Amino acid sequence: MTMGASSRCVDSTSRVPATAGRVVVGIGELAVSDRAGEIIVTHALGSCIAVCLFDPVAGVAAMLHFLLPEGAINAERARVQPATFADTGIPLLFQSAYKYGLDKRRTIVKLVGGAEVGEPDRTSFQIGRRNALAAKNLLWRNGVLVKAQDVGGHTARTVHLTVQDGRLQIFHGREEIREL
Amino acid sequence: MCSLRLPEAVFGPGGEAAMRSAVDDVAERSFFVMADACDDARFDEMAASHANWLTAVVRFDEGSCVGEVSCTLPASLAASLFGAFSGRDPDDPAPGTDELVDLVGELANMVCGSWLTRAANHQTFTLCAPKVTSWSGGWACAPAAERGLTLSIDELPFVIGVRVDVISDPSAATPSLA
Amino acid sequence: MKPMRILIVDDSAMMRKMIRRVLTLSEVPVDEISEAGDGAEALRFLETHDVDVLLTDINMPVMTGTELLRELASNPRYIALRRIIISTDGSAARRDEAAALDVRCYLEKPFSPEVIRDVLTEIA
Repeated sequence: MTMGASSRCVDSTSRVPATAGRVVVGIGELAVSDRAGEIIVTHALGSCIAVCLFDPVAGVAAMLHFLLPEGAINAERARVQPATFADTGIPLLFQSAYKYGLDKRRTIVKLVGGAEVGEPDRTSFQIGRRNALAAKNLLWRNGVLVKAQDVGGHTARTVHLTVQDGRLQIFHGREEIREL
Repeated sequence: MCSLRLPEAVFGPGGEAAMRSAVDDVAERSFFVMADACDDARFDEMAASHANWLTAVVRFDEGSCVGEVSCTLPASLAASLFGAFSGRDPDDPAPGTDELVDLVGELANMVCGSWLTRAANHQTFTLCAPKVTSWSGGWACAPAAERGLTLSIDELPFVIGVRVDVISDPSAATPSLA
Repeated sequence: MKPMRILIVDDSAMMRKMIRRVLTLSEVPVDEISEAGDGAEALRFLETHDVDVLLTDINMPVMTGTELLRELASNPRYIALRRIIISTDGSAARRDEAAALDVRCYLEKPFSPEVIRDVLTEIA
């Protein structure tokens, strides 16, 4: 795979115009890139999960920002915007990345998000936790182990995934809190 | 929701909370699901639509305290949990009876062991091999002793039962069947 | 890293299968994976096969994991064998017992697939 091929936001066009070198992924969206100078970014990860892929040999990075575990609750939305759900979005993420030369066996997978917004208790739906479990279940059943994760807690996160080296940075607001 | 009646002399006041924590941990780490609280009415409603069930019973023994933990669930939930635990591809053949028996037995083994580690960490327990039975005819045919902590997993019924017999502690409650 | 010969000992075929799957999917260098359903079967296997890493449950029929580990600890032939316990029993007493039997790592069930990968990666 030659470097410098175009990166595209697959499945849904990002509403935020991409500034030079940045590809922004919104809720229910995904992106794949093999452009060394680019960073894939997603903001305001609350209970949602960002599934981040990086193939160091092919030089391909990809990110999915999904909202809910299963598309069965809204079949029409799952059809029109499959990246909204874990069970439709994660397969689509991998299939999209394969077109850029990503090899599942080499791919480094990281998960971020799944926060509980508001005070968690046993009566709340705990969607963040369910999203994280759904992602892990799907990945495991498709023969993929997670390399690292930063999930849970109560704070929204912003994620930067660097295409050149797969570096994954996590921010609260503008403050970097962790590199995964 | 029924509760477990556990002798405080052995398990302290937090025995039931420890069981809830153990079930959550097992469900999430090994099966990637959440076990939700479920009241009796909702449980009965869910249980009514399932004919085939399995129960796994794990006996534990510490010398002065013996008992058993049971996990009861419909066969459909057992099959779903099998897929999650084994990483089975949906296109793979469905699990056979032996595999479901093994799965439910290991589920009960993990729930029992995790609970005892939390609730009675100061003691060493021996766990016996799980005994698994199955039956058709619906929840109505379940032994009365099986209803303890009623839960739901993916909108399917799941119930934990605990029986503890304290042998040598004179201050303990009489043996109870939860 | 030299590929490892691994023996998984657990009376649950499901658990052995799950661990085997993790090892197959991970980057852990594996030469061969073998299985046994109890401590006695494991001991017989070890008498005739070279194994680098042993993962064993504790509560098993015929011979428990603790009994197996005591046998191994008393035999200098197995001095290089790296031992890992995988058990639902996380009591302090069991952990102390394990430490005295040269166990490298004590993994409590339940565990996620990644935990097995991480432990084997560290041991490799």
